[in-house]
Amino acid sequence: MTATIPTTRRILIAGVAAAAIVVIGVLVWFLRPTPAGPVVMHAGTPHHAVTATVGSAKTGTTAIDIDLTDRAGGPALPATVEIEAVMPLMGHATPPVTAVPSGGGHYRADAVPLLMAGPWELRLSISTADGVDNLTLPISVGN
Amino acid sequence: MIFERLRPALIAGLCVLFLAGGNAPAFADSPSTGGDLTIAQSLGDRELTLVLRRVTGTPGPLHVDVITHAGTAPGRLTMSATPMGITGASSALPAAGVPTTQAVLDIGQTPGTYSTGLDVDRPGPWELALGDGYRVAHIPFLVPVQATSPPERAVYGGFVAAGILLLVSVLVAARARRGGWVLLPAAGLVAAIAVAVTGAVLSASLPLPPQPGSQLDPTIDNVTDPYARNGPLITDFSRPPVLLAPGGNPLTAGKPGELELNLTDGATGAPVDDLIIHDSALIHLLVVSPSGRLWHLHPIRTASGRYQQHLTLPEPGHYAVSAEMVRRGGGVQLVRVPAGLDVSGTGPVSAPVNPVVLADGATAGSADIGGTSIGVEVANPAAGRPAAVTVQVGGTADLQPWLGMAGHMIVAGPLLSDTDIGTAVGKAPVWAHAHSMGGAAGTGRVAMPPVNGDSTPDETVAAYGPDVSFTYSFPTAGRYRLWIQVERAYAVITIPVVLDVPAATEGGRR
Repeated sequence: MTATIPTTRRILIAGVAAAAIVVIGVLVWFLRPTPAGPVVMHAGTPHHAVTATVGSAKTGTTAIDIDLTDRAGGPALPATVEIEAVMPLMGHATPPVTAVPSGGGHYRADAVPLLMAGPWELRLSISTADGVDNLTLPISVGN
Repeated sequence: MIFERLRPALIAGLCVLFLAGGNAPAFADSPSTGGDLTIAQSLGDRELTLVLRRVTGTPGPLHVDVITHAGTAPGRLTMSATPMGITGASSALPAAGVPTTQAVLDIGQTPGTYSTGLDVDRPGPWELALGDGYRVAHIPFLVPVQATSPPERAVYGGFVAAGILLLVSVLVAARARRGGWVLLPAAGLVAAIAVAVTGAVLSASLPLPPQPGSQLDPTIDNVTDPYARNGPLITDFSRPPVLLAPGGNPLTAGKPGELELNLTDGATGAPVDDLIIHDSALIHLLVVSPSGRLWHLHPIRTASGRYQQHLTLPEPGHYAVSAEMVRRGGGVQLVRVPAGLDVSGTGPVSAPVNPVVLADGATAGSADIGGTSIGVEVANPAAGRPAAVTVQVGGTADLQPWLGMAGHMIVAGPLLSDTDIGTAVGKAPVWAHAHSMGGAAGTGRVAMPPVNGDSTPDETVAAYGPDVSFTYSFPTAGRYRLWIQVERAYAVITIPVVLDVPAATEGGRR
């Protein structure tokens, strides 16, 4: 018996429903869970521009990629890159992991342990013929 | 229809609301982006106070004042600032890690303020390098950003939405054939105002997010948006205690030398590089000589976890050493060096210390230090009871705040020896540091309210005293050494006091 509902009333209901859908859509968009993608960190030392990419900033082990260039953006000297994960709040330290070079200033550590959720520091030591650059990268580790 | 008859009144009402809304004051004020940063540095033989004035925007200027003291040698200081911040976003700015701005500053014979400027091109953690030609102090500091909190965003968003819906309501009320349609935007208007008002009411009382710098390791990203949540909620940010190991070449009496301080983490043994400015310094180093002289110095940071203090110690013998500091996460730590510091050579080279002695029932004494008349008075000294120690420095209110306070009182005791004070202080159970905010005891007035945003007056304001009072409870009876420090005419005056604290008696209790 649709004829008993006036046309204007139906349009009104449709308008309210459309507004509600828009509001819900906006809320869902802003409250959507962010995917646990890699965490990229751009940093620098006196000899290098450093980009570190942490595969998964979640409790457990993660791969970490380090890309080095010299300060001018050119290729960096061959380096030994060590990564030590430290959680200062809890006084946790982990054994340093040596990142394996794969050419072009790219280094990768396959399994760096992040024991628990919270603020961590990745302490990088980059040794080249020019000397040792130390760099601390703060990272927040989720559950 | 009732809407048809009410339409003119509705339109008029909405127009009035719209006009009134245009004059509405902003409800929410952003949290302050902090004040000036004051850092005391004992650079070589110079005792300097750096004041990094508040940065109001980036890129922008960083105004640096260097306050010198009586006896500071004239000369040239070099300054440079290095961005240290890490960011997830790509940036056209040069990568962090090398200095981006430099300045030189010539300081003269006259004690006072010498100013220069640096340029900071990004927010986040920075490092200021201050050099005197022989050594360089690397001072970490933070360039903040005025961040908008989520409730503030709700306020602004709510009012913007309310304004738009108000216009829509007016249009709908004027144009729609059926008045009922206006209820739709009007309901939205009410909801938007409710959101904005709720945000405005809540914004003042909601807790602050974890603070980069004082609680979290700062990055450009968390300084720019401290409200971004990426990790578990944390309420306790405290970190393990600091272990302090002195190093460097052995010191000889009367000869200048460098005392190295190596700071390591009490849980991991890693270098501690997260000290934050506390009472205007990264480290307050206290050294007491065998004859009872006190040095209160502010070592320079030379590298990660490494600090250095240039010293010329006048007498041979055993010195007591302690340091006060705060790690990121909070909590003041007093780190005592159990082995102290042994200085070789012959001596003594310095004039003997003549303390004001308050013993055998005496509760008042006086002295003359560098031409300034000093009066010292102690009220109700008894073990376990709060005692009031008051000094009167000169006769007029012309004391300057030093390290943000009208006065400092270092307390050590009970001392087992009156001859080898360095050894006795090293073994004393009490090594305390009390502060005075000025004024006589019990006036109920803090003499030093903030005057410039969040900042307390700097050393150039000579308006405090002449009475400086402290309240301290000496825990046990015995002989204590007190060193009271105030600043006058750009000179730090150290007033040594010997105080005998009697055991508490029933009559002494009130």
